[in-house]
Formats: sequence, structure tokens, C-alpha cells
Amino acid sequence: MSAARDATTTRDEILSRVRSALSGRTGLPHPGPLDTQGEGGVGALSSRLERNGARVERLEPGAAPGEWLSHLLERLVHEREPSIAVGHGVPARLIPPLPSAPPEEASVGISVAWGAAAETGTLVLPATEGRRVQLLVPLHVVWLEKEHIHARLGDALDSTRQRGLGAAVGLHSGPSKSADIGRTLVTGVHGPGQLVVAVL
Amino acid sequence: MKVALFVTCLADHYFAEAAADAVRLLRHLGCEVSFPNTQTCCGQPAHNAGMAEEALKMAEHTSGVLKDAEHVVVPSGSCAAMITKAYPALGLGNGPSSRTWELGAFVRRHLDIASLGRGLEGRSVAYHQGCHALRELGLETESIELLEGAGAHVVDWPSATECCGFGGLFSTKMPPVSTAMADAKLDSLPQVDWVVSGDPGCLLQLSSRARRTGNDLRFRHLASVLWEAADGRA
Amino acid sequence: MDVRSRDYADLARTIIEDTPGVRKAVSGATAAFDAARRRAYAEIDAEAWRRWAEGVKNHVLTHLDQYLEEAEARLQENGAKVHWAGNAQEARHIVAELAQARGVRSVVKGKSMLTEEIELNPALEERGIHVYETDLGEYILQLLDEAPSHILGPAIHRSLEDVQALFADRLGTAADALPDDLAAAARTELRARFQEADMGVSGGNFLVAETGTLALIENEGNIRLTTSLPRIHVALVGIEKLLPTFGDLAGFLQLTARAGTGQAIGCFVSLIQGPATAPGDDGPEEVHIVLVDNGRTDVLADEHAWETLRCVRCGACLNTCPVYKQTGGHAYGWVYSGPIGAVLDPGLLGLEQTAPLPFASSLCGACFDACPVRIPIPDLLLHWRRAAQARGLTPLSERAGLKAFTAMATRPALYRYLGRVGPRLAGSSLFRRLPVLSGWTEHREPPEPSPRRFRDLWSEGIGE
Repeated sequence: MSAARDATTTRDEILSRVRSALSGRTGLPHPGPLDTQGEGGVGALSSRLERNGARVERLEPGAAPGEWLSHLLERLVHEREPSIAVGHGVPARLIPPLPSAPPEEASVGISVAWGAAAETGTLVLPATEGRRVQLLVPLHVVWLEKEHIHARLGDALDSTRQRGLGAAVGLHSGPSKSADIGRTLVTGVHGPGQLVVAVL
Repeated sequence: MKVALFVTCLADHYFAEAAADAVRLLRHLGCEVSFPNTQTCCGQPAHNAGMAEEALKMAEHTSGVLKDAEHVVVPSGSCAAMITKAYPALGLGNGPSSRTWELGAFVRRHLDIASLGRGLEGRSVAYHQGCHALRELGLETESIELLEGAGAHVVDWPSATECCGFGGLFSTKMPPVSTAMADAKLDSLPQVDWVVSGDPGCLLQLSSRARRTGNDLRFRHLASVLWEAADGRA
Repeated sequence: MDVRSRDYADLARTIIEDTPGVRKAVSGATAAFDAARRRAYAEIDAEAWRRWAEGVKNHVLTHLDQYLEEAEARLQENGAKVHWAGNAQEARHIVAELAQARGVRSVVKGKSMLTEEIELNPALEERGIHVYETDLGEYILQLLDEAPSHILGPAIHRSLEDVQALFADRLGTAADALPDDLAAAARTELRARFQEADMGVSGGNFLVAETGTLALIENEGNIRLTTSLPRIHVALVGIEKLLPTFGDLAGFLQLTARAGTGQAIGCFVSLIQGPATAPGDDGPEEVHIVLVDNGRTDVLADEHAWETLRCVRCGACLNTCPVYKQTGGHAYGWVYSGPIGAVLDPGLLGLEQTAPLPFASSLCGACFDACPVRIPIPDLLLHWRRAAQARGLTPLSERAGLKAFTAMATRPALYRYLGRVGPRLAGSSLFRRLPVLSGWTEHREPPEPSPRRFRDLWSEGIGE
């Protein structure tokens, strides 16, 4: 039975079929990098993220980030006492003084982005801070340093690669959404239904 | 300017008056028009059906018929595309391809005429873009400019650039799909005096379906409408 | 799934005549996707992006053996296990054996056309393993026991009312529940499935050879969950899905989204290198990449059809196709439908099983203008039509008719003679019974011949 064949044999057969398919064919050159000519800066990032359905907030000058976020969450979360799940890499000063809960139960997840791309409104999230915090909560807050905003997605990915791709990287560019039911847009289908980007 | 008319099999048999109007228009614009009498079909039906040998035979015949023509004008975007785009692919690169024009493009681009007259003043027109004129020949604005230049109001038709469902053999091989496509176009049609197209095949498809569904829309070939535009010149 | 592509004409007729709701739902959804795609293309230098993407894919396909070996080496370095499957049976076997050997009892799945192609779900279910589709559209279809009808929106042929009735029956939602409530019910149901699953199965949009990165694009977040929560992740990837360098990803992620949904990028993109290494990263302990051929090397060997392997499965050609819009995907009788299906399926399955598909097109060319990797679909439709005619896979009457027409059209005197009577006879009741003409007159009036042919008017002299 073919399915039971030796794995190496299958591999070599496929590669040999590829080679025989390509024999006599000219190898075509790689066209080089694509210049996507994206626009940079907080403004460009914000407007793209907002188009994607996310919310962008800038830390008020002089405010303590944790307290500030706590106040922001009071407005965004309609629960008496919102609970938070925090990613492994989030420094203490960015954590609001709210009760913590496991990501399965928390009302808010808090992460720090490694970087962002303005042209697509994309946040780069490493797996090392814990993926559940990024995925299981209804509201996901991502802290982002202004200096980490790239104009182009390609540059954001390059800098991520230099830092180390690790097991996985998540690119989040908006809230979870679907139009699979009657072409009506619904948010929060599986992942967070709200994405808030807090710019430092 | 010497022009040979390649009338196409559909226009010869189903839009004879429109083809005659094309001749009137071209003469009016100072062209000396000839009609090579041995012309038949450009070969597109066989080409699109995948009958390569048959397509080549008809293409060779047509290339021979048109070999001495300075310019070839075709009152059909689809057949013009066959001659200009498919003939070279069939190995007939030295044939009439580079000298062949769809009627509206010939008048607007080659003769560089922006306004034929004001004979269409007050007329509202929906212009159906034939797929091959639009996507193979890249003709998007030429005929519309001529219609508007003569005073016609070319209405915004959301599906103006969508296929009518003719597709030659396709229309009889897949009748329910082909008809549903015609309906999609007709259903989105605004109120107009005429539906105009430079393609006889599309006009046959749309008008035959409209008549079956009791729709009394008036369908006209571009050639007749352009002649009317010029003839009505003050 | 069974291949029913030979029945295209009948399947299409049945859908159009018996289920008008499908045509309405598909037309509406595709028109919205297509309009979004046009807007998104207008924001960029679409022509330059498309040529670039075509170039990258051509490069990778003409060096495919090298890039497959490079991807394999990188993935192994990253701690992932690479498997090779020559055909659907081998692919099913690899995944099923893997699941069984590791005591897997339940599997969550992200949307993957390749798993439909190889019919993975029944193979797992046969072994007593529960399989849960987690993409909302796929979940709806799993409950309905239906196949996807669109690459991106698998359930676009189903209306809100259809889903309301289905969920009321299966999930106990109200009969008039709004989409938000319906989605919430599905989320609750599937969240539990995510938590208990031992294995997540996904497809793959791209596999980067340089870094061994598997890229997955989505909007719901279910693929991120599928590839993160269960202890084992298995990705099925067609061998044509490779990209040469990590730097190529940014362009392809954007172009695929713009072509498919008109977004700048999918809401979630997973870039997966291998199993979790850092403590607390919530990733799988094992990552398996199954590289699947299943006919792709045959397509690669075809000097014309190999260009279909550039396809990134964005669905743009479906959305813009006036033929697809009338029926949705089920008429095409197999996994890949629409214009790309009409040129890909003959390559993957053989023309004998799929001969009507290349003819399911008016050759309008809209698909080529939409395709982000510039697959010359109209040319390839003709390529397969020629092959079908040459191999006698079309009706004899059609071939005989075209041969007779050619014989006539290359004999001007005969053509002129027959042209005098032909069009008039075509309108008569006798001739309406011929297949080619009854196909016309079933839904349309016979065309009205001009009273006099043009050539008659010409010979009489055309006056102003």
C-alpha cells in the first residue's frame, strides 16, 4: 500500500518529480524587493488601525501609564470590576491596578508589541509573552512605543526577525471579525472583539 | 484614407443596416471604404472552442483576404480582438493584426475625432462594454467619448463592464448560466432610450433575452448610433 | 469529495432554477468582495505589485526543488517535523496515523482547502476522532454537511435565514437571532472545543524557505487558536505554497488580503516557525508540516498549466467572475471552483473528470485583471479547451459543427450561398430542435436576421 511506504522514498520521489518537471525549463530570476512606499508615523498607523476597526489611544503626557489605562478601561469595559490577564513581557509600570485573572476568564488582556507597521495597521506580537493573553480575552490592549512604529510592514518584519522570530509571531491588525453569517459584519468571533492600541 | 471593412459574420447577417451605417460614417469622415468580397468569419468561434486547426484555417483565410488592406475596420470589438491579439498567437504575426481597428477606436483614436456632431442631443444611452474590446484591446472610453461628444447622456450602469453572458458557443453550451448573466445585466439597467454596444454578439444575447422576458428595450449597434450622431450635424 | 465536475452543466442548471436564493446570496457577497478588491487595488500601484508577485512565484516554482529542501532543513532546525505526501491517500494516512499514535481524541481545524481536497475529515472520523471546523463559515457547513462553495467565504451561498434556522435547531438560539448572537453562540460552543482538543489542523498560505516560516492569514482568530492551544499542530501545505525569502512575506500578506477581501492585511496573521520553546508561550509541543503533492508536480510539468501553481487562493477571480456569480462553487463539482478551479482542476484531477470546466466561461477576461499573481486564466481556459477537443472529450456534434462551419468559412462562394438562407432557417421551428439552437431558444427569442445581408446591401450600393 502506497500510504505505508517509506517516508524517505516519498520525499525523494516528489523531489525527483519536481526536478523532472523543471528539466529543460529556464529558472526565472527573483524580482528583488517590493517597494510598498508606505507612510509612517503615529498618524498613519492610527488612521489605518481605525479603518481596521481598532481603537488607538495616546498616553497623556505626564500620566502614569498603569493608572491611565485603568481609567481608560473603566470607560471601555462595562463590568463593575474588570479583570486583567497580563503578558509575560509587560513591565510593571504598564499594568493597571486591577484584579488579575487567567486569560480564559479575564475581561482584558494586556500585551506589549515588539513593533508596528503603519501601512497595514499591524502590531507585531511575540509568542513568548503568552498567546492566550492575546487571543482568549474579549478586549485586547496592546502597548506600543512610538519609536517602534515602522512605515512599511516589511521593515517591521525585518526588525522582528533580527530580534528573533522564536516559535511564532502574531500579527494583529484589528479585532476578530467575520461576515460569514448573512454578510453582516460581526466582531469578536473567536479572538478579541476589541483591539485597543495604547501608544507610549 | 483607405479602409477595408471586415464586417464579421454576425454583423453581415444580423446587423446589416448597422454595418452599412459604418460605411456611411467612414465615407462621411473621408475614408475610401472597400469590402473584400471573399471575407467570411475571423475564426473566433473555433478559436474559443479550442479547435485550433480550424481556427488557424479561418485566420489564414481572413489574413489572405485582408493582406492588401491599409486599415481594417471591424464593427465588433470581439472580432477585432481576435484579429489583433489571437492571430499573432496563432503564428500569423505578419497578418492584418497591426492594421486592424474596432470601429469606435478607429474613429476616436486613429482619425482623432472627438465630436462627430450633435445628433444625439437629449438621448440617454447605456453603453455595454464588450469584454474583448475592454480587456483585450483596452478600449474603455473611446466609444463613450464619441457618444457624449455628440450630446448623448451615457448613464452610469453599475454592470456596464460585466459580461452579458454571450461568449459564443458558451451561450448554447451553458444556456441557464448564460441567460442568468444576461438577466444580471438587464436587471441593473437604468431607464434609457437605447442600449448601445459595439459588439453584435452581445447585442444578440441581450436583445434576445429581453424580448423573451417581455422587455421592450431598444438595442442599437454603435455604428448606427455614431452615424446618427454625425448625420444630425447642423 | 466526489468529483462531479463532468455534471457541471446540470449542476449549474439545478442551482439556478431550483435555488434562486443561492444565486442571490452569491451575487451579493461576491459583488461586495469584488468592489472592495477594486478599491484596495486603486490605493496601491496594483500593476507593479502584481508583476512583482508573479515574478517571485515564477522564481520559486522554477527552483522548487531547492526551496523545498531549504524549507525542510529550516523547519527541522526549528524543531518541526516535516512529512511528504505524494497523494491524498498518503496525506490522510500521515495525519491519521499521527493522531492515533498520540492518542488524539479531538481535533480543531482552521479553514483549509487542501484538507477538503484530500478529504481529511472523514479519514479522522473513521478512526473515532472528533473533528471540529472552527471557521464560522466552515462550522456552519459542517453542521449542514455541505462542502464550501467559495475559497474565502465557504458559506456565502447560505443566507442569514438559513443560519438562523440551523442554529435554532442545533445550538438553541432564537429563531430570529441576530448575526451577533449567532456568532456568540458559535463562539461559546467552539471555545470549549478549542480547550479540549489535542490536535489543531491548519492549512498554510505561505511557507518561507529561508526561515521555515508557515504563514496563515485570517480574520476570526480561530487559526491562531488552532495553532496555539492544542498540544499538536499539523499543517497541510501544498508544495507550491513556498516563498523564497522572509522579505517576500510583507508583499504577499498585503497583496493577498487586498485581492481577497480588500483589506490592507488580514486581522490576524500567524508566523509559525516551530513548536513552543519558551516556557509560557502557550504554543504546541509538536509542529508537523505535511508537504502535499497530489497532482501538483504533474501541473508543474505542463508547459502552460504550471502557471496556475502561482495561485494564492485569494478568491478574487471567483468574486469578479460573472459565471461563478450565477451558481456559486457547488456547480463546479469539486473543491476549487470559479475561474481558477476551471483551470486548476483539470491539472490536478485530469481532464477526463473535469472536461466541462474550461468551457464554463464566456472568456470575458475579468479574472486575469483581478488575479494578484497574474495567472493568465483566459489563455489557460483555451489551453484546456484545445486539449479537451483534441482528446475527444466534447460532444461529437460540437466538433462536427465547427469543422463544417470552418469548411464553409474557408470557401467564400459556399459561405455566401449558405449565408443567404442559413440565418433564416435558424429561426424556423425545424432547426430550433438542433442542440446548438435549442440551447439558445430555450431561454431567448431566436435572433432576428437582417432583411438583407450587408454584402447584398454593399453590392447594391450603399447611399447616404
